[in-house]
Amino acid sequence: MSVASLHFVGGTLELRGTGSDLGGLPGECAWDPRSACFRVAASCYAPLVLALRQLGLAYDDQARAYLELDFGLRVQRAARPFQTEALAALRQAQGRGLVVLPTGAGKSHVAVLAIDQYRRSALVVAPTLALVQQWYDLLRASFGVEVGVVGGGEYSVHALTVTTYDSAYLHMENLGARFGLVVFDECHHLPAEGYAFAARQCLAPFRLGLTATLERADGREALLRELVGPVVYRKEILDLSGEYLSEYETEQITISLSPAERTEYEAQRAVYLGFLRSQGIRMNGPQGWLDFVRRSSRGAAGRSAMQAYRRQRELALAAPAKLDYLELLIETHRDDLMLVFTQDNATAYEISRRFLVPVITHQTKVSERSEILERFSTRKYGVIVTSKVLNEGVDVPEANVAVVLSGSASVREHVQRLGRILRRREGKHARLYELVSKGTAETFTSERRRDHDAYR
Amino acid sequence: MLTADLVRATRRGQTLVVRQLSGKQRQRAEELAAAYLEVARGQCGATQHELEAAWAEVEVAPSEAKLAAGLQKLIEDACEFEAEGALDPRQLRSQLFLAAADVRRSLPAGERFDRVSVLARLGEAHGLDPEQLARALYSDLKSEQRLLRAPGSSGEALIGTYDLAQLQAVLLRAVKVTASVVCATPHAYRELFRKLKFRRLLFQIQPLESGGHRIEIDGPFSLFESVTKYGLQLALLLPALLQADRLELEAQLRWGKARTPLTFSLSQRSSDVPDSEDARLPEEVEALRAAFEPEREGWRAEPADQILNLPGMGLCVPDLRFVHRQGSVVFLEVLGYWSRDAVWKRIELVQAGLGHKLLFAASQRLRVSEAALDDHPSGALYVYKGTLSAKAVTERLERLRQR
Repeated sequence: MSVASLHFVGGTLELRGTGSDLGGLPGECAWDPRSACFRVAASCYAPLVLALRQLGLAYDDQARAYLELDFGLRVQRAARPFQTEALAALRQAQGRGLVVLPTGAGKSHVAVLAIDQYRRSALVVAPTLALVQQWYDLLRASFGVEVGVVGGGEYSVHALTVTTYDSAYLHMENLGARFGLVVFDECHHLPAEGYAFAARQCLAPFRLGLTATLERADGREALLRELVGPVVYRKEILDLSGEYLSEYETEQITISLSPAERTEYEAQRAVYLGFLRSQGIRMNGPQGWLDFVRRSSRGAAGRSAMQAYRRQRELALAAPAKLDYLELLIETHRDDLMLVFTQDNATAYEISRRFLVPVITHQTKVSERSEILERFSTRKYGVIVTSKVLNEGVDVPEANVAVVLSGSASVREHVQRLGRILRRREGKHARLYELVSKGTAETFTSERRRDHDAYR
Repeated sequence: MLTADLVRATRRGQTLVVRQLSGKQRQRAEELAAAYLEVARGQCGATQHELEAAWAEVEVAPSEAKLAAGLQKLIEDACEFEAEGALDPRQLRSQLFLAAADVRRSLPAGERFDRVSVLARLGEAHGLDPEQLARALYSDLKSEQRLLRAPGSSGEALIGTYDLAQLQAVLLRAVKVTASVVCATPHAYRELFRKLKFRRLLFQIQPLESGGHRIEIDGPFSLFESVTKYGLQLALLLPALLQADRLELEAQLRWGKARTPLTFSLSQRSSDVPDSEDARLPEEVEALRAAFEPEREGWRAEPADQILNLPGMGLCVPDLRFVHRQGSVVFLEVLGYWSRDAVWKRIELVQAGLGHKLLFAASQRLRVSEAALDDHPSGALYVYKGTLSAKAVTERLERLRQR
């Protein structure tokens, strides 16, 4: 009888060399007649190995391809009490769990400490290339080793590697065995179907999820428990404000459209709403938008309704009057460092061309992005305009003014934008402006957005 | 390749039916394809954005919108775009934004920032007026890339590509494909399984009573969940499946935003299947078969139509099936000059217990020894020099029969 062996194949584990009648394996393991072996999702590696040990079954582990690190933290930074507590809570939960901390509180330091504690090859998964860049810098500086990047046209894998959720979905079936610790940054993204699949294809026994906002619109956050682990530590924004975060102030500015803009806005909106009415589409239901997209593609009336929808939205989001006000803000805050957030790329590029300020979007290459951020932090640039790219946890500690030019009705997005200028910095006083068009559908969006602790 | 949302298909109950272009429609599609190709060839030097705007001028009925978008996608895939113009836009941005920030910082209180003068100053250095400079700032964006070369193909050829691309795009959303295939030659089967393996797909095979084989294809994770993760691999496999002489394909899909479970079927019969079975064997194998006609020391030879699969270990597709007068059956696979690796794989298969008696013929040039399978009860190697010898084969068949 040949000895049993464990293999990593396409994001699953194959236990070969046993009969199909072997008992005592975790319930998730299934006999696969296609390849005459037991198979299980790679994320089940830890329980499977425990079960095999309990059975006293000798096996050759050819699946595990991660290393124990022969290096540790090069830079020792005093951990804040809640970071130490979070790490201890993770250890208590066998190295699998979620840590919920407000943006700006220093979540990534918890991950750095965890890598140092477990000393296994580690993969950090982050939602955007901007964050990948930032993790890359952080890990390199903290551990003094070469760090791999997968995503944005790069593919280099090292003991410490950073990737995006999208690249994780594409490559986890090849990479999933090479890391003993996986860190999911902004892990509220993880329950999306494709991303969850990537998490299942990874065999890392140690799993850490970081987020500021656990709640999702679709309620799938319960899945995080299975994919990562339970919530092991949680602190809300108000628990930390003043102590570790900058003081901040928010101001909403309502801007009226010019008479011509108002007339056009009303006209376009009438076309759009007329179409909804004629088709009996209800926009407040979950299917409303899909329904509209579907029906607007049929026939000329639908297509002009879609055009009208886009134009009225454009007017509400980027009305010239708003850009004029932005000009005033830029002038007023000439000596400050300002971030301008837009909803879409087109508006971001328009602002860049009009005010001659640098822009960062998902199309900006990593090196140019670094250059822009570097010049911003040394005050060579006073303003950066960006669409959703800088949305999550990008560290721009120097910024003290943020302008949200337009945004979607998502509480999470807003908190994270706010969080960006709240990064800890001695004596900093941060200010956030929100520019909303008066009497447009966007006002409602703005009210919903403010429905969060940070505004109370 | 097309994306799934560009497929022209309708739901009929639980099935997805791809709308084929036929008759008048096809003619119209070819005209449209030719028009788009012509527009593209006339737009060399234009930006991608301008190319798309030029295409938008070609009049299409609302019902043709998807077809139009699909054709444009296929042409754009085949186009070659130039990334940047003579000026390096990144450098322009860097210089301009630094200059603008400087000006803004040093403005006396109450004085307004003068955009045009900042643009004019830098523009002068590059021989551009302010608006030209503002336009050149982002010429490295994909939408502002310039077209170098458009494909020279005909509208008819593009529609041919489109037909296949539609079927492939359907499979992008497949969680499983079941294919009943008949291949005329063992070689064609070997190619198919080689491609399956290359795509890292998993399969189960069953012989069909009507001849041919039923192959269920999906991926490792499919054991637990119906996932579309293998859709791209399945789509890329389709051309290999279409090489079969007969194909009945059924795909389980998760279609549309709602990921509705639907099935999709496809059937194809190649028109030029050779009449005679024997004509399909490679020359040297056919010569060997002929040498056993009517029989040789009690052995008859016939073309084999089995696929011998040992899950977890691999498979082999024999060329000939030898049947002895007293009932023994031995399969022969000619590995020829293939590869040493292929020979070792076969040896492993035999040792793992394939359940049939097998003889593998490998050329001497592969430098393998018959001793590798000496005295194995169900397998033997025949290392030959030059051509296959009927006499040597018979000796080995006899030895296997007596084991």
